[in-house]
Amino acid sequence: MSKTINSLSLILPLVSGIFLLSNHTLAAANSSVWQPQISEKILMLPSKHLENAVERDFASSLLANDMQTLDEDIQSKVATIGKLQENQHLYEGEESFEVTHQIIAGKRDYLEMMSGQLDLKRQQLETKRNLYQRLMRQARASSIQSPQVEQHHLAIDAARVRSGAVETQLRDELFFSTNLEESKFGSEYAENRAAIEQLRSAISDHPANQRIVINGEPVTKAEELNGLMLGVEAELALLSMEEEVIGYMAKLLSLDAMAFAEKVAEASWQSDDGSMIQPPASPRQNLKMFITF
Amino acid sequence: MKKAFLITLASFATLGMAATAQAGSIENMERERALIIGQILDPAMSSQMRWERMGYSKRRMADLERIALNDKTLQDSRKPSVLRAFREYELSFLVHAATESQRPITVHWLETMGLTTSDLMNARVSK
Repeated sequence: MSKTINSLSLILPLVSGIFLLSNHTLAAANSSVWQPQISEKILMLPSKHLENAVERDFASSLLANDMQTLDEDIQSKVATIGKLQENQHLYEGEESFEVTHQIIAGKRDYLEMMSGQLDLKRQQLETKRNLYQRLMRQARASSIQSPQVEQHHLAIDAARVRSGAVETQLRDELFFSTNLEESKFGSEYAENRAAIEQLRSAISDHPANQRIVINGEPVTKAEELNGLMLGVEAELALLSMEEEVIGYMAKLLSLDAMAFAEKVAEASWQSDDGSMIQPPASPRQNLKMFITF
Repeated sequence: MKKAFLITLASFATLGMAATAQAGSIENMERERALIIGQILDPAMSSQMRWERMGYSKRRMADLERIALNDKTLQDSRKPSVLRAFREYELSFLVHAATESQRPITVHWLETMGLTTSDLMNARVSK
């Protein structure tokens, strides 16, 4: 009887813990944070490099460190459970119950840790999504111009193109028509201009600077960021499905625990001095006691 | 005490004037353009002197136009003088525009203003 009480006192908390796990998600560790340290200048980078910069920023955060640690713990727990399951057939009787109990407890710990890992991952993805939303707002704000401002910018660009086209001719004309030496500014201006043109050409031909083009139109920065954000939304949707998997695993484990509890209880009842409970005595068996006076 | 007060007052006034006296690249260019137009319209100047002075002015003006064209701060400027300068390229960037049209500065400016050779030849002074 005492053995029954002891086994039940061990198993009942296990079952209730697993049952609660199947219905509730555990809160993520409050100490894990990721506050992106990324400036607006990152918008100048192509989207692939922007994504890499965001990943590097995440990798140096506390959240990434905690996720890494938790992942290692999960791997260790999986290895332990695997070994126990592998050797389970070698045990009998009480030892077999103990091994089964450890397996169930191990699976419960695994589900707890995995649930925490999914919470951390959700935090990571939501932070990334918010970051992309902020960068997209900044990209859109910088591209919005009034018609007057746009006309002014176009006028400046046109003036630069027109003046650039006659620069060589102007230098020759100044030299031949005025018979004056070229000014120091003029000669250095020409050299700097040539250097700038070469650098601009090298930048536009650089493979890392190739912009994505769809239907002949280059994709804007806001559209690139929107694409990245949709990728994060897809990952969040997958995360919700993984949480559902964890929920079903927990429910299955709670059923395993209940079945195990019944098995242990049955074994405890059978081992109580090998005796079965006797049925209560009938009054007919003691009839003679009353008849004989 | 009075002397110290006057010196302090003069210092503040000088700083204020210095702050308001800053000229941008467009203003410098406009000032030089005004000098060139003055030389074009000066009736007392001889042809030789005009040719010599225009030579110096043209070189200075070319440099000032290059400075204004490469001034990044003008991109965000909303000053009317800046907006007008780029809107009226032919009259603002005289040297570059004259080179583009392959005409002397004087002819380019007069014809852009609407004064052709035939108009001037047909003009007469009347009282």
